[in-house]
Amino acid sequence: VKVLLRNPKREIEVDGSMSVNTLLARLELNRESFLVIRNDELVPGDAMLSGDDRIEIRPVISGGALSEVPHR
Amino acid sequence: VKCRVCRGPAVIDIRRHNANFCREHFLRLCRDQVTKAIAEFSMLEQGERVLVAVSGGKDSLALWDLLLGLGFDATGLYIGLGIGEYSDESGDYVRAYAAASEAPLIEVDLRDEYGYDIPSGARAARRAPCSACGLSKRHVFDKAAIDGGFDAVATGHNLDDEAAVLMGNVLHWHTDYLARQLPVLPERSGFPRKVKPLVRLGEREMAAYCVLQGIDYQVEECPMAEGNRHLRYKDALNQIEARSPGAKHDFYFGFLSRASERFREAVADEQDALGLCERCGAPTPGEVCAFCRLVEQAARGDRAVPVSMSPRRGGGGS
Repeated sequence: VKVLLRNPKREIEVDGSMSVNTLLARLELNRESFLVIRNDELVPGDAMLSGDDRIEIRPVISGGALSEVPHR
Repeated sequence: VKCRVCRGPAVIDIRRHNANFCREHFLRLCRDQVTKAIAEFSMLEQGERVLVAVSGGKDSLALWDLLLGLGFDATGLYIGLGIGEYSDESGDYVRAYAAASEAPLIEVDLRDEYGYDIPSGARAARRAPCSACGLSKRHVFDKAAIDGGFDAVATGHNLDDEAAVLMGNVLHWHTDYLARQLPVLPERSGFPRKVKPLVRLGEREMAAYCVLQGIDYQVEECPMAEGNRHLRYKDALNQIEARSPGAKHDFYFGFLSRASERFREAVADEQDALGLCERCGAPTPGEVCAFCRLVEQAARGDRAVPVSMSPRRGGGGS
């Protein structure tokens, strides 16, 4: 399975067919913090991935100027 | 995996709802949650003019799309922060969405309007970049909303954002901040109403919403936010959520229903004591508001850079 990762953007290859949740666990990624996209479509955690799939694992956490005080 | 509603193929699992959803029913869930938040906290009425703070990220573009889809009169406000390529790209995403949706967009560039950008302003004011950015955004949102006659400013703060901020405020017992951490802040003299219609939706859901709606957004994180404490709090909360689905929701909504009220009394006195900034007229506890001080420091910093840098580069001198 070819896997595109972000921040920084890079591609890795993971051997074998497995579920989305197994792939995330193998890469030690928290499933609450990522979406998995196969051929431009979202796939849920127990979807099975095969060797031909191109996968993007997209982080969903963003931070920046979160403010404790929206205004005074 | 089947959609909880129609039993068709699911595209996303949401563990805190213990459910999977197909595209159609997930999008409906998002609309329903926003509708519920708006009604529950009396955020907006149909027919009101809403200014949506858009950054080019998933949350704000999803918010804009959801409000337009729900029939609100929603204008985007994009602030050019001057953070190099990151800002150039974020502006492109916002303009592309506005053009595709034929939605009105207002743009304010910090460098053009106020003579500084976030990197130079933060340096000059000796603030963390996220602090200078938050201060700048709040001022520009308020001013644009009041000048433009908008009824409210809507921001894309989601459940994860609010839970992370709450965690920081509780860890350090910022009781005055806890008093103000609400999904809607009413209009007051010099401040427009501020609403957060995404508080019932998580960050992962907002990213999924954009993917499923075909909204291109900036996936890369702001280069200046690296190591930001809220990112660490989010990471910690997601570790908890992974083992205890629904924990973030219970934390935030439990705070609103059971604790928030207890912190508000002290803040009411403080808000009554605000005067007006002698430069811009915005409410402030001092003579000059923090934003005008930042603008002045940045202007001095810009002029001082060649002089103050040269001795250091030369390795000596006064």
